[in-house]
Amino acid sequence: MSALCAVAGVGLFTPRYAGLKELRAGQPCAEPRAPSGELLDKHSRRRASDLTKACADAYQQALQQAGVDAVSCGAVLGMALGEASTTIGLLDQLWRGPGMLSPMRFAASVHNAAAGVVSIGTKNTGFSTALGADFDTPAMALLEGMTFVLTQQLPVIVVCADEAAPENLVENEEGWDFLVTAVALAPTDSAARDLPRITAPERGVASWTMPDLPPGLAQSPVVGLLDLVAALSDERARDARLDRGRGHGYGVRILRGL
Amino acid sequence: MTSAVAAVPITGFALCNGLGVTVDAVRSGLYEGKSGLGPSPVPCPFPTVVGAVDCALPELPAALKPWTTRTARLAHLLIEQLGAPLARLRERVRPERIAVILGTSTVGADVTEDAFRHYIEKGALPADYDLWRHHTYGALLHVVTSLIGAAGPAWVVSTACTSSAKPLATAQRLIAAGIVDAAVVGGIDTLCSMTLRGFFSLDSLAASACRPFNAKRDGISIGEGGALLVLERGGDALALLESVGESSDAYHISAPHPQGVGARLAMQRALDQAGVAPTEIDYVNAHGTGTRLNDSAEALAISGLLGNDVPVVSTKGYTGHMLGGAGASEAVITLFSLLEGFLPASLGADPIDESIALRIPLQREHGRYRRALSNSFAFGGNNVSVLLRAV
Repeated sequence: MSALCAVAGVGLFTPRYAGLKELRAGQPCAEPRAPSGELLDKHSRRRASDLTKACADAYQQALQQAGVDAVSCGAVLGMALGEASTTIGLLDQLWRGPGMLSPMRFAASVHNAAAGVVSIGTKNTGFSTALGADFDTPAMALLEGMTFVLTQQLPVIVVCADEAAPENLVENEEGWDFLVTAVALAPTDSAARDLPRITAPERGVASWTMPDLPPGLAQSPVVGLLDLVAALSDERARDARLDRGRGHGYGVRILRGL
Repeated sequence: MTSAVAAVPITGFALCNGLGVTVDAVRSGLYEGKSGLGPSPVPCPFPTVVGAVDCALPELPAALKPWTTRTARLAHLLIEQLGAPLARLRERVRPERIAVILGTSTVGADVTEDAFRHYIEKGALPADYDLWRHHTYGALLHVVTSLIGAAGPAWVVSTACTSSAKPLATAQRLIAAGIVDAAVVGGIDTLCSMTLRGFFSLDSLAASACRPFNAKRDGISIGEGGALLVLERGGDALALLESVGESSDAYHISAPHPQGVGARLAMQRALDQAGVAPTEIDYVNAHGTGTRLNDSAEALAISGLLGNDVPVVSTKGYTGHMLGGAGASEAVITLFSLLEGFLPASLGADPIDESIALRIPLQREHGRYRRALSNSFAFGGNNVSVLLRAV
């Protein structure tokens, strides 16, 4: 596979760790953090779920680090479950209450809610999408983002996110913690030479995952993008696996110093 | 590496909805001007009509039984219709070079609604409910990739009402970038309480059959169903997927931009990508939901870009709005015009809203239609316009 993209920026939000450095050092925050949603306009921020605000936070970090144009870059949002708390809230209204739903909550329950409000907050009229593929969500979101970059020659921010496991829908298995990770992908032609490049996700090309990751994060369906971000920060890593055993084994190679 | 996005042959298609459960039945219904809307099989405490798929759906094969949902069985019905094109595809393309890109907004919502009701009433989920087999996108992908025999990249796009239009764009990019040689794309939505009551809460649900572009239109009718298309590099084309334009309104989470700015941008991008002039468009299958806001905004977008002479039809009066299944379904419906030379009447449009400056056929029309756009717009201000060409 000769398709390559540069990784121009990364972003991370998780309630228990301030950033990747603290996560790798095993230094949790004293109190869980709440996402700010600073990127969103005031109206959207007031109504947005924590998941949407956290997506916006990670998106903003990757965007700023990459220095790409917020108005024209693409956006790919990958979530295995998406707005689960909002959906459970609707189910509660459906079966516990009089059966009528909140219109705001209904509109915010769609899988692309975060992509929509980020586009509003950044006045971006470009391409955005939202997808899911269970434990292959990070691999497929990266592939969607990479093919956009390769064919349109525009940068794209790929965000992978899921809330903590919705306990009343996953009763009989180990849960996972809230995790949002982002990468900014850019065409190799226009990217700085010192930025790392990644290949398109393929099955069986990689085994590297971040060691000693807290179990709650390791169980997340979207942990694969965190593993990629960690691998990019580790000079020894030459590849990154995009799932931890419950997906189809996709991974990417990392090329440095081209 | 830059990859030009070339037109891709469409080598097969299937669809089912409230108008019919086969390609022939849907085409006949459109030709004859019949509505597929009727009473809702999903109980709801307000008047409405829906487009429900009315047939016994095929059971999944034994190995896939634990993944049984209405969505999965509708997918099975569509895959059965695609027997010959899929057989040819499998002869020509290795499984790992075939992608499956689907779209849905509801996926297993109907099953989860029932499971959650059980949870509330009994304090536990039903013993046979499994989130990963009944609710998630991966569940649908497992069924579809298994039935098709595809082993390439696979994911589900979920962007509300553009969900099944966007996979056409994704597949075109995957093929252009050399990641795969073929893709099975499309999408499905099923009726459920949350969508019926959700659109009612937004005051967007019509009490009787929806009337897109009508002066007295008062909202959407929800439908269920979907479509699948086979796209194949170098395949024997029935028609061509020429390009897909995508845009965001950057305006409001659930209302379209009133001037149709994002909608126009999506159509413009489709034309630009294909190098096609507005005068070369012979027909537009409108998103045309029947809400006051959508139809007015879309009319401004179409007339602003293409003028007032191109015929514009909404087919939601026949099928209802299939939400996540609408984009692919209407792309297939648009193919009928290119392949068979007829435009269905825009059912329910009479009397047309005088403020809508479009040519909206109230009777079936016949002609030679070479290029057509099929529009889909969604919550989040997400817009898609699919450009299809006859061969």
